[in-house]
Amino acid sequence: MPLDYHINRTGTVVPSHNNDKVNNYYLQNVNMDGYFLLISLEPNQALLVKFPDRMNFFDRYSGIDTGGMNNGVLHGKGDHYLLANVAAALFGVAAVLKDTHSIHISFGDMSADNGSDPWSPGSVDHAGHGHGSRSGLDVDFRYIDNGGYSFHGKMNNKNFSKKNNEIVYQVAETFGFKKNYQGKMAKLSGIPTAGGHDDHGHLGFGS
Amino acid sequence: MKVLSEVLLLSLTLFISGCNYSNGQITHPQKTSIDQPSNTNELRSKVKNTEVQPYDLRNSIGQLKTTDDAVKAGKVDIYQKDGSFWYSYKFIEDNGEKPEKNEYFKPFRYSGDGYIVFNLVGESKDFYEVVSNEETGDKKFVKKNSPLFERQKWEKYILDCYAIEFDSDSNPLHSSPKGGNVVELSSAPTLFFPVEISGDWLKVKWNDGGDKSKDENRGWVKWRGNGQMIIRLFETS
Repeated sequence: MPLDYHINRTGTVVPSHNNDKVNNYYLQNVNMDGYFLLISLEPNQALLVKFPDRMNFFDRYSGIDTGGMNNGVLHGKGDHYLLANVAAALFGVAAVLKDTHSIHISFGDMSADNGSDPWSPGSVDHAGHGHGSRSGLDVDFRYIDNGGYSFHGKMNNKNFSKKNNEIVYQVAETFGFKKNYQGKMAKLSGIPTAGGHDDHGHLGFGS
Repeated sequence: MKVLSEVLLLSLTLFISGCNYSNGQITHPQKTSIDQPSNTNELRSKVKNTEVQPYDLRNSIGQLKTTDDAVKAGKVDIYQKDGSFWYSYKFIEDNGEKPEKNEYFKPFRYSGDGYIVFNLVGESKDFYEVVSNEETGDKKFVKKNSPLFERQKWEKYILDCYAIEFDSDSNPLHSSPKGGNVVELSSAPTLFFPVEISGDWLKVKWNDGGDKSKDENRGWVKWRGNGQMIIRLFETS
């Protein structure tokens, strides 16, 4: 059943029933004295919503995965699908990053439209994002540079901002992303390290 | 995020059950149950049976992968056996424009996002020979003096991966790289993380049931057997 999500900039999201066929996402305004309708998203058959590629406070990187069969798994189309409540939390993350910290973030792989991990011929394999039990819960992002923008590069790049990236993880945790990883170069304090993340960060919803 | 409504909990519960039983579109592999060991000295591992497609390494002398400079360059050039130009693989522009497609270019890993990983199968004075099409086995050439490529070992690539899976029936987990006891798993772990490599053996660590609050376990599994890579790689989470 579709819900209205009221997204507070403090990190809470309040769901309530609506009579629509879509989930409505209301974002608290910058002054935190009201809400405005940010976007409406219709759940698909896998009960996921397509997170938009870009709005004026975030965007996406890389091409869109085509899906296909790989190692016995039918990967669905696309790479920007999330559970409805996770999408609400991610809107909140991006909005707080932009309005409070002047950080413009670019998101990468989430899940495919059927809930599988996103994949295209030739691409690397994900262990989460729909592989195993984590469907619609995981989000990749490009690391933030000193100017506050996501950039295409690794953690050892001279433009990599320790401060800005630590802010990303801190804000994400406020909104419920607590299964997070940085690369093994380990430039950030307090964030677990994991292989395969030197050129992008990983936000996982839930504990 | 604080869940402030039972409605949301109900919705999530419905989704979780939907993952298992819904319209057949979700493709999560099902975990198999774990047999109890009959003898603790001869323990039997039972990991979910992953579909692992062996990868032939018999002719491989390593990998050739793009460097960070390749992203800045925006493209890399591939050559034919006689040294003539064959194809430029262009990476995706920030505007999302996709690179020109070449149906004959299908190396081990490639993405318009900025990386190519070739299976390296030969070298001459001036060129590396790489598998340019994994489906047909066709080979092409890369200039050795190109700063956009670097050679690396398969072992390094595997250890840089986030996690691996393997078929526990044909390739069980052991207590040492010399074989030793087969390691029992008290519950099915969700992921095995690479730690180190000794010859054909890969040391992995895992948490029972994927619960990171539990003690970390370690064991050894074969990553290479009969000249083939027999584990599945998950390069990222």
